[in-house]
Amino acid sequence: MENSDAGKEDLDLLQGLRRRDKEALGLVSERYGAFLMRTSYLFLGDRDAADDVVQETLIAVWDSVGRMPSDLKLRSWLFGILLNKCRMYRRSFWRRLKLERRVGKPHRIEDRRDGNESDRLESLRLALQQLDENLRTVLILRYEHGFDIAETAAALGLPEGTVKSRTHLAIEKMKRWMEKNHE
Amino acid sequence: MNDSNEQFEERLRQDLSSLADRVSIDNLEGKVGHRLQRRTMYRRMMVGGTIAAALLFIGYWITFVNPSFPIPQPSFTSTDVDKMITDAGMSTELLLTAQVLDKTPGGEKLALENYQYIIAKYRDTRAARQADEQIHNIYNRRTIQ
Repeated sequence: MENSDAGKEDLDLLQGLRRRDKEALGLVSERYGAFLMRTSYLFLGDRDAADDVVQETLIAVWDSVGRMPSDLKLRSWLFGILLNKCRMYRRSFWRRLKLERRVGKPHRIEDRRDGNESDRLESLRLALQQLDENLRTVLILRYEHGFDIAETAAALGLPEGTVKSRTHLAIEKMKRWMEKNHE
Repeated sequence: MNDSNEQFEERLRQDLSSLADRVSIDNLEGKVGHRLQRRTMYRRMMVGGTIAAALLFIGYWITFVNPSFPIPQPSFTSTDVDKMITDAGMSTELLLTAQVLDKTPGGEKLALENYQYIIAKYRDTRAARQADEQIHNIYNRRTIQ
């Protein structure tokens, strides 16, 4: 019931976007802003870059809603656009330079976590950035967004076997990185 | 081994979530709206700039490149205009004098000389054209007589 309500809301949002209704774009950012922001932060490892990419994603949504494949869900479509924008962000020479400079620096933690936990999170952030892009994407979908193998495969347009092997490889690499950095 | 994998995955799930909690959406709607507005403004500026550049180019082409659009040069200076006014006045006065002489008995020869002088001196005036007609009239009269 909840899913069908969400689906109906998404359809309303899409119709609004197709009518060039800016209020609909506002509702998309309200509803999916956090999802997009969290994903892009985990992908890029930098808050400013993540913010920039999310804004670009929403503008791309506004521009290309007419070309959205009809069989795709809004969330999957948004994720696809976000992923492309993140990749483009990393490929842009100047942005990459800026990003590399900022990602390497420790982020100030603005929460009340104790020192050990903060260190662990900081280590995780850096470890994610060391991972291959394909492995990182699978990891974010599987463990942050809770996608199962089939959903991840559908979202990325990959065979399930590839998702399984990438998940396995990503976990192994993360484990090795964490062990090495916590010794 | 499997247990340890599961534990690691669970901890990774929690840590990823905690890491992602570091970021918050801060006035995202406003930022996107502002960016869209700025982009619209840039596009308008680009269109305006393109139109202005095209107009400048067309103006340049008409003025300096295309020979079928010569720049209209002023035909007369103020000195020329002054001279034209003076000539018109003088020639009219002379014409009137010549016409009076022409009507005076024995004054035809002197009138003819005056008409010829007006034609020679004030060639492009109205008085010169009338003087020419008067000369024709004199010759016609002579032929008839």
